[in-house]
Amino acid sequence: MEPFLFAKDQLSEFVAELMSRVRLYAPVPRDQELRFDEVKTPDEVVLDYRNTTKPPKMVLFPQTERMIAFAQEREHFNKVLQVPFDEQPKAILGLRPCDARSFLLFDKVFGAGKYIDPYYQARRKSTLILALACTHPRPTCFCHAFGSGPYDSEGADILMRDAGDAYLLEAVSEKGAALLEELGLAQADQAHLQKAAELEEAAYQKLVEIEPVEGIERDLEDLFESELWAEISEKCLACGTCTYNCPTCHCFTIEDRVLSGGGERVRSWDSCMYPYFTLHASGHNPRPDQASRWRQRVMHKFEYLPHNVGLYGCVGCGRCVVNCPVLLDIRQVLRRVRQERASKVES
Amino acid sequence: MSTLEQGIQKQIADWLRSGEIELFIGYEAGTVPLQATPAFIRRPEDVGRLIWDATCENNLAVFLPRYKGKKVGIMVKGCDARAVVGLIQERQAVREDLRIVGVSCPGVVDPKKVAERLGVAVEDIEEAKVEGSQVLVDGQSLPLEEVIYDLCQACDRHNPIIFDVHLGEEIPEDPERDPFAHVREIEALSPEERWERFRQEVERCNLCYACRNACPLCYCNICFVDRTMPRWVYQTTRPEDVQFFQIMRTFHLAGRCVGCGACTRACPQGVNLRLFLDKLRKDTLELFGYDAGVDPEAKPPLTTYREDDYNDFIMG
Amino acid sequence: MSAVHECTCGHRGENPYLPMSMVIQRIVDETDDRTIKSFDLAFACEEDAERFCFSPGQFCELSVFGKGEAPFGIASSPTEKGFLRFTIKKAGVVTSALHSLVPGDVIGLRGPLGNCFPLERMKGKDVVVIGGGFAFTTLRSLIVYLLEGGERDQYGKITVVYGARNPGLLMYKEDLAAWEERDDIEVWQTIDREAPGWTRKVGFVPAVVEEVAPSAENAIAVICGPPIMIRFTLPVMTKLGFQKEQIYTSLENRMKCGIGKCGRCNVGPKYVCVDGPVFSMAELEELPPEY
Repeated sequence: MEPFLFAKDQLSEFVAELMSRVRLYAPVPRDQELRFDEVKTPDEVVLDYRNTTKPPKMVLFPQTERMIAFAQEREHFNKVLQVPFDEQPKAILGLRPCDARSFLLFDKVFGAGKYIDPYYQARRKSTLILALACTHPRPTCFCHAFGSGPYDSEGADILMRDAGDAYLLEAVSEKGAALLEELGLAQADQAHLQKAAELEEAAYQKLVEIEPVEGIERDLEDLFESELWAEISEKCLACGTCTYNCPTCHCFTIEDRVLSGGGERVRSWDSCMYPYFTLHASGHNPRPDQASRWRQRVMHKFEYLPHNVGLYGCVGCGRCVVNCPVLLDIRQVLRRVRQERASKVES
Repeated sequence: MSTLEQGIQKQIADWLRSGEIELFIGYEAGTVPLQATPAFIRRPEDVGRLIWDATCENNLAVFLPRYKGKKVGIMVKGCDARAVVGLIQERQAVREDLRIVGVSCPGVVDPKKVAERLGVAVEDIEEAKVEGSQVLVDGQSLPLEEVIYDLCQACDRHNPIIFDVHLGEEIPEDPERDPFAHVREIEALSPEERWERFRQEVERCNLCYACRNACPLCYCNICFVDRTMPRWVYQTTRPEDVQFFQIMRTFHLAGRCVGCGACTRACPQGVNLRLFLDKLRKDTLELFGYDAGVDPEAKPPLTTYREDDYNDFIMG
Repeated sequence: MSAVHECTCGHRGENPYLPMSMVIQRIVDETDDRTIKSFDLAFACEEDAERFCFSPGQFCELSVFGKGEAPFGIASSPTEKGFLRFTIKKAGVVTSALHSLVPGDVIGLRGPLGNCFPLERMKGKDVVVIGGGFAFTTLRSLIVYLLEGGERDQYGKITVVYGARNPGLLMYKEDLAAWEERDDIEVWQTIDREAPGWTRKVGFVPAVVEEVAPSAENAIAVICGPPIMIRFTLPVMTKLGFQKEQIYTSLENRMKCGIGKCGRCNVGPKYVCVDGPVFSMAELEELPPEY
């Protein structure tokens, strides 16, 4: 089936059309930044952008989310109230292919296994992903190190491609096809297909050279006790910037929060970089230093997750590189892992 | 990127070789244009990695408390030197254990400003370097003074006040320069407008604690946000939790903040934390005549009592 | 406070984060320093009680609403009907809140969570149970289950070595006394140093295990206790001929969700909450020492 098309100057009409069907999330200017948020007016959506600082994971996995509420009767909370799941139809428009792929990992962690996370699952099942291929991969992008690329459609329901003065839309999933069917957009013409192909070609030209990540899980197997972790983590400030801005990081904490007249159990993003993440009530900490925390970060993403669910915990978006206050570059860390492994094998 | 002057490199190598220090904390080239990264040098033969130029934005004094009791060398800019003084004052570092390379600093590059001038995103800057007073980037030449951080443009402390070796030409301070112009703007607002400004500013905060962790003076063993008994604040992004965190952190730095701006540069959300902290610095200066990070022997005003202390708020 | 027996099971559905309401029936001080209490809980909702089915070694997340949630091993046995027992040491926020409660108060419970002791493997074998201090909770569950499960003859000799710093810190004194009276279980209690009136063993757990010398032949051992006790007991077990595949322990790590999602209790690639808490020493040998 030929892709559909709409002209860029018709974006707000397209957005309005989507808004009439679903609760729409897209990159919009909020608090002096561009971030994925619920679209309030059709003309506020910005698709001509590189990427947001905060990842769109916050749509399906909000940074803070109420899990249950407590009602108070007499002096104690003793009544549990369930919070309704978010099953309202939603769509995320204009997220990058790297971010779209991040939800595949979330699906493996929250949406599969012995227990299903119902808060995530309800949102996920009711959300359509309209990914926007990336015409300007940045020097810090490394999606291609994972065998993916700026035009990868994995994880998306619909893939949008830039075609100069228009966007082409192609269904990736049945859900996506059904929506496109309904929208009744024009079929793409040859000229726009041609333009889109040119832009795609140009985008791939922009990718910087990088070693494939594949196989790193085997390299990591023997490196648990390595000195490497102390070396790479020495400049780490132990903030949560890399994890909070990561589209795949999904660790969370659960807290009971007391409000006047009621209470709530909330979950919020947490970070393996924080010393208190694993601290026992006894004072013992199985990960007592930043070296062991960095080891966990790398091992979790590049050894445990591939081992446990078959996907890396990284999509190569480069947010952690760009936002780290001390420029602790994960790409360099992976290079060091390879070197360390190679020198170990040699000796 | 500019390699550190030979003479300084040799000095650092000598310190390491002689055992005067076991570690030198400096800067090396980063993997992203216009950003250096902290370097931890232990072997004399590695000093060649060290650089100094206007991309060296981190305040390395933040690392000193970790190496308390060890002999450490460190590279500091004018503002960073004040943080070292603050740490010595608060017994988090011992002067005799330190070997300090102090740099007279004309200001460090704000990559966001460079990107803005080019009309691109920071991540799109492909090639850039600082040469003298110019930033050469993607074929253009920008005057350094126009693309340094706001903080650096308002700087009145270009020269380090504590060092063993000095690098660079002494930079004369402009007595006309008002380091608190941005604070005066806020002070002119009504309380409601000020609160609204604060509320909007911290709305972007996502509690990653980069500000706290990049701050040399935020070294508490257990930060109040991490305490569970009692629980002061929850780890949620509910506005009241975020506001509480920022207010508490700011006030804990009253009379201690040296105005280095490390928090503001570290914030991935671009929250202008310096605005709040500088208000307290200005108050401390006006009410107590105290400028943090100047005198290692001085007693911080909020931990000492003087008969002539400002007390209008009590008698009012 | 009188309990509000608000039933939530009807709309709990498949939400593993939603706690069941439990009513505290009875609270007992287990040790004379009063830092460890046992809580016997009853289900507020009949349907929850019927659905709840567990094995010794499993744990639950208990919550004091408004204070938080924490994981605790189940100290009662599935053979003990009508209540669930948890023995809790006062340490952090949740445990302190629990210690301030009284019978009749309502708390939350999620579970049972995690795996259990290798009950099937134990069949036809001798069982050696070694515990130290506070870490005897799920061991109590196991012992009661082996004795009272109606299948005592399925297991061989049962040997228990349980130690604490002093007599006052030994938990489950009534159970210990009752077991001592039986001839189908051998119980060795020990304290670190001589104490007035103490007639049983004196010495650290590893030394007593060495002295008692349970046979490794066709046996399974379960060891729970402080890390230092486990560390010194393992070489003794090796000396007695136990292979690492024959020795099990139960791990504790900081947990939040208890269902393998929140990402903090892992030991290498394994999650204590879903892959454990019970691991054999052979399994642990393959894992990094992150606990």
